[in-house]
Amino acid sequence: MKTRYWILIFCAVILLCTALWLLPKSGGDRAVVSVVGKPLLTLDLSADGQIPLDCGAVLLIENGTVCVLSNDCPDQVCVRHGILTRGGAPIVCLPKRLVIRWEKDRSGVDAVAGAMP
Amino acid sequence: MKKFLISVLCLLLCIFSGCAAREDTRTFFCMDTEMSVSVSGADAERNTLRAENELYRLDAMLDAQSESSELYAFNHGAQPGGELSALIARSRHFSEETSRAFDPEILELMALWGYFHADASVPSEDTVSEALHAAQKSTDLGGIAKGYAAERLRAMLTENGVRSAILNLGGNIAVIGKNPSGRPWVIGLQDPSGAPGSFFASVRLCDKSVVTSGGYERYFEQDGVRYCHILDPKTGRPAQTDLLSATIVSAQDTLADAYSTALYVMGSARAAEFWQSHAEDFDFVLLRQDGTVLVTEGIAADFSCELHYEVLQK
Repeated sequence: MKTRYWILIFCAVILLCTALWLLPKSGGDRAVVSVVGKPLLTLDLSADGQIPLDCGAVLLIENGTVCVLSNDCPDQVCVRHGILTRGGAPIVCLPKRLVIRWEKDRSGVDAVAGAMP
Repeated sequence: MKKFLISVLCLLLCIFSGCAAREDTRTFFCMDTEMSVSVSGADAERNTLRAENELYRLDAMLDAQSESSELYAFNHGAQPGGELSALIARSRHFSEETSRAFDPEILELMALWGYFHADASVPSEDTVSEALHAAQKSTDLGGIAKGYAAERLRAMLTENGVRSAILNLGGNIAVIGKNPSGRPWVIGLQDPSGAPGSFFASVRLCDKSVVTSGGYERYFEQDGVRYCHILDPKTGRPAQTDLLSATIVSAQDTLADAYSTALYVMGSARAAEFWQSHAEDFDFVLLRQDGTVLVTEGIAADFSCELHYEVLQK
């Protein structure tokens, strides 16, 4: 009886750990959109489409990446940035405090010094 | 049965204590730039929030452009508080050490060169010389504010038991301990001619700051000439240097910030000479305009670079 309990508990723990480990890894690449430092939403980049944001920006997801299609900000730096590239800088709209970055960077470095203007 | 229940409780405790030790990242705008703070370990969320609030406090104190800041008040005759006056004293010390290649008293010159406006243009010789020789000069701590912020956050986070964190304060990188996977952090050095975020070299390190200065970050062009935002305090004009960028690696965050600007202004020959007498304080990576790289021996073993590089020995 006792042994059976232990086997059950052991199996349950293994299952739980595997599930937790696999859960965030499922799906394709993801990007995080944050406004004024707070994550607003996570984009699944495998699902093409346009996403209008409350702040006035419209995002376009295509070919596994994302860009700002249009935005009613004064400088349009975010629109001119183009697509989010691997190892490249996040898309930033200073006037709207909007940042779009990869959920997990795979460039092999933890950060790049001197990268920001 | 009792034993069994206790075992289950212990197991659950193990699982949930694992959940508590996690990572939190906050990204926000402060000191006119984007900043992000990532902290691992228990209480990560509270620590990133503390860090963000501390940065706002420092920005409110050190922004020379803001009429409500303590530095603005100091520039207009008020007595500075203890923290500000200590920082001003340190900035003057850096100025002396570097023979004024770094100098905080250049606020008027920066305004003259349009540092604070989008529509910059070359000022006349007379106005530059007037600002250069003015009896009363105003202090700008923009050259060390981010470095000082890193120093403050390092002290605060370490005091709160944080053993792994990375701060990206507008391109100034500071790390605490090792990265969450238990290895040294790897920091790329921005490739001046590449896209933002691309790098020409990387350094592996723990518990240090990496600060890069380069004319590629901010500049304006007039009549085909490029004017970078880093001024040579002695000439009052944009630095004439053989460098594309100067990177300082040091355990002293504020010093790293001041010296990266200073070494960029000095150029590679004077920078190498300066390092010989200050090698215990910092290491550097210099990228010259001809595409060659000079790195000091203290970090040579942890340095990797796609370009040909030379190691400077003591």
